[in-house]
Order: sequence, then C-alpha cells, then structure tokens
Amino acid sequence: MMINKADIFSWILLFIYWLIGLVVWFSEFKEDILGINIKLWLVLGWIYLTAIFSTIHIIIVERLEGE
Amino acid sequence: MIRVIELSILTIYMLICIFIGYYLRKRAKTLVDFLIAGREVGTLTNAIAIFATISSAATYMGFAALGYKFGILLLLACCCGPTGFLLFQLLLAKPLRNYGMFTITDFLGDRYDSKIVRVIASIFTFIFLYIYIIPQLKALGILGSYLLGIDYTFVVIVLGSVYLIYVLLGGMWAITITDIIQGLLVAIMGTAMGITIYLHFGNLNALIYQASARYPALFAVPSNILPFFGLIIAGTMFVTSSAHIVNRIFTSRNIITARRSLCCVTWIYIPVIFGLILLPIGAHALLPPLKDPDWIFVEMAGKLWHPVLVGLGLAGLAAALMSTTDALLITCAAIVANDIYRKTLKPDAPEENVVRLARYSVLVIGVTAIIISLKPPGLIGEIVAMLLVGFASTFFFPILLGVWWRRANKYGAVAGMLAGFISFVLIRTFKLMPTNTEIFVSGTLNLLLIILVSYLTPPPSENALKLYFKLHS
Repeated sequence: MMINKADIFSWILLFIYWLIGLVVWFSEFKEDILGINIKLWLVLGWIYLTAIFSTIHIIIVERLEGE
Repeated sequence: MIRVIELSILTIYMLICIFIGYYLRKRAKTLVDFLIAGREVGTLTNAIAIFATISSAATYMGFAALGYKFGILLLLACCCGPTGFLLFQLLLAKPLRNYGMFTITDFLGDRYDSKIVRVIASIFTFIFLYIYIIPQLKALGILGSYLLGIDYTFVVIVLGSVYLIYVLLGGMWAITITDIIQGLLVAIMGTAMGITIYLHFGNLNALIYQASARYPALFAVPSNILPFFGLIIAGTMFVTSSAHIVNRIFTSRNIITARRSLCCVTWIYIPVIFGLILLPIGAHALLPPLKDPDWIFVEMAGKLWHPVLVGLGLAGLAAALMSTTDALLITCAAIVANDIYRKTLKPDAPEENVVRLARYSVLVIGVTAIIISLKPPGLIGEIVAMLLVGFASTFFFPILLGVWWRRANKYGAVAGMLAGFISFVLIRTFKLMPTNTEIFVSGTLNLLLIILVSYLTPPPSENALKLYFKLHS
C-alpha cells in the first residue's frame, strides 16, 4: 500500500487547518480590538497560520520520510 | 522630473530583462530546458519565481482596489495564495514532482491514459491562460499611459515585446532568472509600502481610527459571509490547478526542493499581505476619495515616497504583470508544442521540431495577445476573478482525484471537467448565484460526476494505474 505515515500526517494537518478556518470564517463576534471586529483579526491570523503549518509540515514530513 | 526618473528606471529594468534572455539563449536548446528549465531550479529561486508568477495585475491593483471599495474582509478573501500553497505542499507537490513531465495537462492526459482528456484539458487550459494574458497586458498599458503620459498603444507594444523577446530567447531559464528580479521587486515594494504607511502614522491605533472615521464600511463584517468564503475556496483551488503555477513544481530540482519552495513562498507572502492590508487603510486615512481605486498603490506611492522609490514601485508593478504574463506565455506554448503536437498529433516528432514549434507558439501567442490588448475588454478585477473560479471549477478535482483516488478513470475525468466548466459558464452568464459562489455548485458537480461516472464505467487502464503508483513511489 502506498499511503504512508507522511501522507496520513499531511491529510490530518490539512484537516486541522481547514477546521480552524471554518470556525474562524463562520463564527460571529460582537467585540472589537482597536475598533476592528475580532473576526477580521482571526481571519488575518488564520492566513498567517498557513506559514506556521507549512513549516511544521516540512519538518515532520522530511523526518518521517527519512525513517 | 518625476516622469523622467520613473521612465529611466523602467527602461533599465526592461533592458536587464532582455539581456537575461539573450545571455541564457544557449541554455534553452532542449525541450526540458526551454519549457521547464532543465528541472534544476533550487529552493529559494523557485520560491521567488512562484511568488513572482502568482503576483499579477490583481495583486496591487485589483485586490487592493477591492479592499478599498468593499472592505478589508474581501481583501483578506483575496489573499488565497498561502492557503493554496499549503494545500499544494501537503497533497500535490510530491506526486506531481514524482510524475516529472512538462505541464498539468500532460499529467491529466497520462494519468487518465486518454487523448480525449488531454485534448479537452489542453483546450480549456489554453483558453483560460490566453484570456488571462489580456488583463495583464491591459494593466501594463494603463500603468504606463497613466503614469508616464505615454500613449497606451505604444506602452502595450513596447512592454509586450520586452517579455516576448526574453521568453523567445531564453525560454523557462530566462523566465526563472527574470522572475527572481521581478519577485524581489514585488515583495520589497509591497512590504515597503506597508512599513511606510505604518511609520507615517506612528501607531496602528491612529491609522485605524482615522481610516474608519472617514470610511466606516472599511472594517465592516457583512452578515452573509458565503461569497467571501467562496472566493478563498476558489482561490485555494486555483493555485493548485492553474497550469502556470503547477509548472513551477516541474521545474524544481527534486521533491524536497518542490515542497520547501512552497513553504518559502508562503513566508515571502506574509509581509506582502501586511502591506496589502495597510494600503487601503492608509489610502482612506490619507487621500481624498479615489476616482479609480485600481491606482491606489500608485497614488499612495506618489503621496509617501521619493520619486526614485516611486520609479522602483512602478517597476515593481510592471514586474508583477510581466512575471505572470511570461509564465502564462510559456505554459500556453508548452500546451501547443508538447500536449497537442508531440503527445497527440505527432508522437514521433524530433525534439528540435517540438522546441521550434514551442518558440513559434510563443511568438504567435504573444503577438496576437498584444494585438487584442490594444482594444482591451472588460475590467481587470472581473476578468481575473472569473478565470480564477472557472479554472478551479474545471480542473481542481480531476487533478486531486487523479493523484489520490486509484479508481478515477478517463470517463469520470471528462464528465467532471465538462460539468464543472459548463455549469460555471451557465451560472455566471445567467447570474444564477452571487458572484464567486459558483464554485460551490460547479466544483461539487465536478466532484460528484467524477466519482459517479468512474464507478459506473470500466476501471482505469493498466498504464493509468502504473502512473498512479509512480506518483506515490
């Protein structure tokens, strides 16, 4: 079977990333920070989270594939 | 005075691009060299080239203008580059680099072992990419005529000829090296704009307060979030299915390089998004209402920067446009020479004939695109958004399932692509749904038809399965 640990990890990471995205996009907030609705800050944070997820993926997948 | 400085910087930039094409002409003799730079591009070079490829007319003109007019949330929805790169890195980079051929249509044709899939994918991709060239050239023309006071026709012909010359001479090698300059210019000027705006106000609080006082809708969160979410979904799918971006995975040296370059480009994007967001906020705070928000970057540069920096900013904008156009041009040529001629019409064609045809294709596609752009159609933002959703609706699932679902076969792929494309065209033409939400129907229809038709028809051929296993080896 060709599905390996690295592939499973990639799918799980993607699932978590989009789960966070869905919660962020479809949640409603009434509070503001610096006069801006919290939702906007969270969507921005979610986009920035991409780089962190991307780096985590590289580190772990290269280790898993090296095994 | 300002015009002379800007014109000089732009001229120097154009001459450098032509020199690079001339210098690299000897490295673009074989098909692998001409179309995918010999598969020798390293991590950082590839990352900057990917960033340059995805930065287009929409980056500092269309998207920033949308943010200015409709609020920051729409601008954030447009920032789908990183989300697409992550999806690409996680699921597609390794299998596609393992495949290692020339174009994404090549991949579809081989994976489904079908000439019909190859031809349909080639025709649709060619149409989408060719149309995509027009708004880039239009933006170049408007940029030059608006800022330098030169005639629109003259600017389109001159700037269009510059990228045509260096692609014709140096192929993908020239594109890759010019992309480094172009990508760095785009990233640095975009980030510099964000920093300048921040420093001008001294703190974020003052900037936000002033902008929202003049335009409260800028930070509003609409009750119906679906069109915004639709845009980010379509954009994410577009990044992973657009032929000119996927090509960059084929140029990378190996799987590790391919994945790392996608990670690097995500990090390059982060400060650029920071600049992009501050741009409309700063414009509302500093400038009188803009008549044409597409010029938001230019107006802000004129307001905040020294003329030399404005000239560099202009070169950065031109770079964003040219780096996308050259990638589109080489991909269109690859489709004609490799997918249609070599793989479909004449499989035994000698390599030098295919390379020659690729060069002729570059010339014909480039010249006709310049001619069409002399009388440009539609609005830049509208055309780009339409192509983004159309591309994703047609190609995303045939690629994803081709990589990850063994049972996917040619009948399913054809049904899925046609359903996605036709339903998107119908929904968009008759305005059956809000803009950008078409992806939810046409994308789903595409997915369901691939699965259903694949199950109802014979399993994939031996060749198709062989390739499927190669992808995951």
